[in-house]
Amino acid sequence: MQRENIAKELNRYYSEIKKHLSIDKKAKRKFICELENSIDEYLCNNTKVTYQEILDEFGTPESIALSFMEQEDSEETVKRASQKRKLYGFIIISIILLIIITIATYAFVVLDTYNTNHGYFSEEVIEEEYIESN
Amino acid sequence: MKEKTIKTIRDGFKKGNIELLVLSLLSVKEMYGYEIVQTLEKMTDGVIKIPEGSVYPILYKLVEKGFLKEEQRLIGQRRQRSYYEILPAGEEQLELMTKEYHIVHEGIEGILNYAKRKHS
Repeated sequence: MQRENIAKELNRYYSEIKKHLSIDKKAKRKFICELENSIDEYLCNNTKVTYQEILDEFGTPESIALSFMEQEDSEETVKRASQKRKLYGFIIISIILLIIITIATYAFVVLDTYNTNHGYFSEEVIEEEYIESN
Repeated sequence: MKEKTIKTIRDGFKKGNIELLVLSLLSVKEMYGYEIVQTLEKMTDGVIKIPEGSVYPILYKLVEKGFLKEEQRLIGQRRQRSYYEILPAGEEQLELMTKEYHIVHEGIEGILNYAKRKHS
């Protein structure tokens, strides 16, 4: 019953936590599920709970996410940071290459158009003389 | 201001010891996450209040290392709750951590006593 009264706020609360957690989806789902159970239990054991009391008892979405991330394995964090750096590096190199290819293509087209309009063709005519044997 | 400072100091002390506290409680009986948080708070009269967010990553890590066993149980009609039980490897880890904790604690005590003696 109590859960229904603050259901909207709780849904927003869980969404905010999910937004702040940068862990894989499976772990995120598991953690949110456990947190929902804890909050449900808190609501069952206490009467007329307000959203503010939930925040006081369990913490703000930011603080929950932060405390979760703080306890994460430092090795795992370093690995994830390195993967992120590699991904960013790949994206940046791809963008630079794309820009270079675009500029080169554009320059070629512009030059080609200019040459067609303002340039000249050099034609070499080779005349061959056929001498009839008869 | 002073309260905030005390909280910061306590948080610092807790941070390195949550694993030890969790293993310690689970060596007595199996528990679920929120139960661990509440038990710690009750047993220490609110001195040790661990945020929910801190307990779960530690529990997941301990399961991954083979120190705990996780068992899903149905509560109510559709909700699942994870119960954590200590395994023999976890008991060994607890013994090692407790021993190390006392060594470090004694070392710190020694320095504090030395400083106290010098001041008096």
